[in-house]
Amino acid sequence: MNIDEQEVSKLRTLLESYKQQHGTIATGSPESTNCYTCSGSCDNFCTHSCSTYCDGNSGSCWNSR
Amino acid sequence: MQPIFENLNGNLKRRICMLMVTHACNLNCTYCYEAHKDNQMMSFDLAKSLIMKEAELVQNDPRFDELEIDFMGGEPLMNFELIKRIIEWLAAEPFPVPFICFASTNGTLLDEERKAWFKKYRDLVWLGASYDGSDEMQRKNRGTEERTVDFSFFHETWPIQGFKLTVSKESLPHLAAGIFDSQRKGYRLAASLAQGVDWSDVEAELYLEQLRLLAKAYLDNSRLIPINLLTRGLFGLTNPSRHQRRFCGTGVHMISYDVDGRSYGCHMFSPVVLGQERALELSKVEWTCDTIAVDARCNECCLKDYCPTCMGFNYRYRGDLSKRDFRWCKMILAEAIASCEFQIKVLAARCESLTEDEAKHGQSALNAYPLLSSFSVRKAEVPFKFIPSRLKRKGGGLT
Repeated sequence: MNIDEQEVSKLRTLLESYKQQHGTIATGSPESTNCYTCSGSCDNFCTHSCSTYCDGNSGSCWNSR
Repeated sequence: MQPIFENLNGNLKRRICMLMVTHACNLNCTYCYEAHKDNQMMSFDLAKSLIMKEAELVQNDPRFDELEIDFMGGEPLMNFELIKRIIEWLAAEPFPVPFICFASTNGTLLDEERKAWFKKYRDLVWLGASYDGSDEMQRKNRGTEERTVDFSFFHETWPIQGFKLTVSKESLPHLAAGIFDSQRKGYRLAASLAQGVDWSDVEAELYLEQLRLLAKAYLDNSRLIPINLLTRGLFGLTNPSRHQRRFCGTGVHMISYDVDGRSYGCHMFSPVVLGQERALELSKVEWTCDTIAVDARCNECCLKDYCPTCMGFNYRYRGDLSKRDFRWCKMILAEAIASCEFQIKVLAARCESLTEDEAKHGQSALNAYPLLSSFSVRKAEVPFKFIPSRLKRKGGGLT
């Protein structure tokens, strides 16, 4: 699978449109979008403070009683 | 339409308390890192006192507002009676803080009576099953077959809880097929690479091939939720001056209690993994130190903040909390390349406006694309240095 320039160009257009609507896109640091406690190292379940790597199931979806 | 990137923010204020309810396990998986399993079990009185201690901490520490109690093993259901007693105690009395209980399990010890019990208490205790995909993958990794585990029970009882899939050498050639089989059944999956494995360049290329098969299928079928291996953000790859960060809350947001009540930073530092002697060596570690997980050899690597580092595995296999495993660098490169391709393609195909998460992922993937295009999985030298003059300005293929 390769990326062709049309796809790159299409995505650029979508991102430009987003910026016009919302301002800048904050992509600077991983911490800005990945939780400090759960960003992907654990080889176990998504409970051990690692919900990002495990697709966010635990941290964002579980409800405590 | 399904979100491509799920909410990654998690809950920063959750205290995680792991209770090692047993050291025993009934399986012997190929990728198991617990080398010191035995038949020790935790008692109810000890478990209760530890839970109350943790509840008091959550009540008094502004960093936390809720408690997650994880039942760990071995195989936690080898001590089902303890789990049952704890949950029935928690259900019967008011508890001082919000809480949730969880156990990861191989799923082989659930009979009808236990299933009925878990269904009754499913709002208080969640089970997550380790599941390696097809019968072939289960057999190769775990010595069991899918049909020996009632995965539909897990799926029906806790539908938003994903199954945990570990990618091993043995299951790698079947990865895409195994993931599709599971997702067609409606299962949610969370996959990760087995650690402590001597991955070869050939396997890294195979991994890239399997991930590309997955990517193509997700592009062809937007109803399937893309596996997490393709959706992690490629944030900041072209900013080599960033500092390495730590990837988990070991010893800070989480704590592990062994069967005898002794505490460790996480279960990876407990005697069942390290043995008694090595586990005690770490009793004076200052877990809050910001640089505790920094591996100086990786400072120039563009994937240093994309490549997950686990202090537990670093210590378990290399005797150093910060020392990463260079044998899986190319696997991570393959994952980054496949993710970059997929994220650009899937977002470029969008007809409507991008969400905030999509915009962040899309911008990061576009930024990373020329850099990742300059690497070949087979030929790239570790660590993967950011060299601006080598960047391809236009995208040929990522190989």
